[in-house]
Amino acid sequence: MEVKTKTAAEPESRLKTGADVLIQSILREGTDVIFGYPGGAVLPIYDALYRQKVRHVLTRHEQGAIHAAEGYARVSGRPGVVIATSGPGATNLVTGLMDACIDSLPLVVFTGQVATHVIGTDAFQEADVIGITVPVTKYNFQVENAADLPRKVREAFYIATTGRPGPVLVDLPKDICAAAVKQEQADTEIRLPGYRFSKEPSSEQVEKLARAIETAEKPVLLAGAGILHAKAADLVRVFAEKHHLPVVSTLLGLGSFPASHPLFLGMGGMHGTYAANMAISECDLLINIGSRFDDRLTGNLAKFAPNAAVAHVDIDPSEIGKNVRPAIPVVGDARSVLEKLLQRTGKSGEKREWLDHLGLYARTHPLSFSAGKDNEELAPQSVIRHVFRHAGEDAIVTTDVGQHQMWTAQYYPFNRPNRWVTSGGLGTMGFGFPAAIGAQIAEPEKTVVSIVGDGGFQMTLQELAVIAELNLPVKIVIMNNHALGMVRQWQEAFYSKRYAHSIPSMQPDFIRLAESYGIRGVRVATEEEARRVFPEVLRDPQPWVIDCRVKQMANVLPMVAPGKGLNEMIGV
Amino acid sequence: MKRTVHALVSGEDSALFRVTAVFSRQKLNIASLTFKRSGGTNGTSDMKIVTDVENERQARQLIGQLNKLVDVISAADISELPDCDKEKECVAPEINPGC
Ligand SMILES: Cc1ncc(C[n+]2csc(CCOP(=O)(O)OP(=O)(O)O)c2C)c(N)n1
Repeated sequence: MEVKTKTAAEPESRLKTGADVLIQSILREGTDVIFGYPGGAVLPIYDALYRQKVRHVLTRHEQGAIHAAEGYARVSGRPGVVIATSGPGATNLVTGLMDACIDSLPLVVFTGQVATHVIGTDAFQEADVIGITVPVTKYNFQVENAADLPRKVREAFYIATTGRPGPVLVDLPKDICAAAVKQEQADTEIRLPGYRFSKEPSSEQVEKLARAIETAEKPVLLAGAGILHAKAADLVRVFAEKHHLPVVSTLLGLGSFPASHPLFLGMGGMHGTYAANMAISECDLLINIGSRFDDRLTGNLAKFAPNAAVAHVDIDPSEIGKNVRPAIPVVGDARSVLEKLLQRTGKSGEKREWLDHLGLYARTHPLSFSAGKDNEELAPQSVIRHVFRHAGEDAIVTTDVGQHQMWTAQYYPFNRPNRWVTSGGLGTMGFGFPAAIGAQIAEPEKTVVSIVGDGGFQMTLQELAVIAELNLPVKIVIMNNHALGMVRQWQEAFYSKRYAHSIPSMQPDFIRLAESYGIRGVRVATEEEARRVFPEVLRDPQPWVIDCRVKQMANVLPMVAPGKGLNEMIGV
Repeated sequence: MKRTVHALVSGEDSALFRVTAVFSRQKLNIASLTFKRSGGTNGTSDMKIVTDVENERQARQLIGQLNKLVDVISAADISELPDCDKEKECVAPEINPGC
């Protein structure tokens, strides 16, 4: 491929622009949708999009575009693709990049850049996007030559989707996209000498783990999102059943093991179940598959799993030993590791006593709330139950961040993989609703419910325009406590009820707001109304905004207070 | 605990920045640093960095984070190597006062 100095305005039959080559390269990766927002530096790319009739979803803010791409990636397992312009367009992506980075979501993000000859001159809408995004991407680079585009795009998708997935940002100076390119055989050979990952675990380590499982008396399996990335939910189930392993899930691991399975103890960590946290505290073998031992899961590390030999299975070797030093480290992809483990004929006996012991914890300390009478104020937890009852087993649920997120994790039984979309590591308010847009685009036939707080919804609600425009039947359930609930809860518990700026004095009328976009809205304030409204709207093929007026002072319980061990839960 | 780290990095201009970013993220001071192009047209470079870590765990984590970088072909703690080996691996010891 050779670059000519022809302008894009006078295309010859054999000449294309860099932008055309870019779009072709993106399509070659199997991309079926791009989320983006145009601007000066990406005009050549948008011109190519116009010519090539690619599906492009115009969000109303770049943050909306990247969260939508994350939602798309989370439910489909395919990389989400984003385009934004230089300068402010690119900087608006930073939150989403960090969110995808810490939650291991594959994204390929293209940002426009000012033309090569003015880079470094503080040109209009110039930002050092590579410098800004080094810490928030798995990898980033600027393309310096239009002829490199096919290979560079190939490499970006390869890095984003292999090993531990993550976001890759490709910065594209305007002149590269506008350059005329002579089409020859595209060079797509990957040249990344420093990039490596190993899917296949060492047989020796797998053997060690297998032996530990056979001899353990109180084993627990900790199921993390690595299982979902590796598409190994089916194997985890077989494996847990074979060895009678009680299963605890992380926040992001929900759905990797069926919530209604008798071996499932619930989510562990700060707002986990008592049984799950006690299982971790008392076990003699903790088998972590695909979780990174986040502090919200472990609580006080010094008190974490004090009696356990820890096995840690992770595709990212730098995660192993970062927070918890394992006795049995296994570097590999969850699916490959489970396949190897299952090939071993050994089968462990049922640990009846241990399972009964944990079962007793679960029975005596279940998650509980009081739903209240028909005409009383709505309990927020009850809203989750109504959604579950009427959205169906196959529904996808996204949340924003805060109390409603924890209640969803606690009370919504995720029985299938890739139906749960939430911002775990970064806890990004504003994530939930745009993520639902991406999820609905990835799975047009499924019911998609977005459960959001009244605070977080206001961070990205401009994307209502997208669901109206595309008639995406996303159901937005606003858990409206007229408060920044999770902040308010911490102020109640740890700052003597000094509610500094957590109970705003005004909020919009969400129903009229929805209606201004041509979206129907309904208010639900009591149990009786919830029972009537949810079956109706969740089955409707239109988008809906459901403004649920819930108790303002409800708290997420039980809880492991900061600095405490998992065995020191309050509110059980 | 003084540690000497060697990294062979690919020719991307940003490799130096990415490697030093790992140190600053881990709150590790860099006592000395050498960076020298060593490869042919594909351009690899040798880096040698002397730093101070608190313990073995931090040293291991540093090497793990460096090896995770896409531009790092290999990274290793060479503190225990005899001096002659060190000189072979790091190409410009004469301009490295910390060596
Ligand atoms: C972008 C961002 N800013 C601030 C926070 C801190 N924060 C965490 S939860 C929360 C309150 C969320 O309130 P709301 O969206 O109403 O949900 P609720 O907790 O009431 O369910 C805040 C402010 C955050 N997580 N993300």
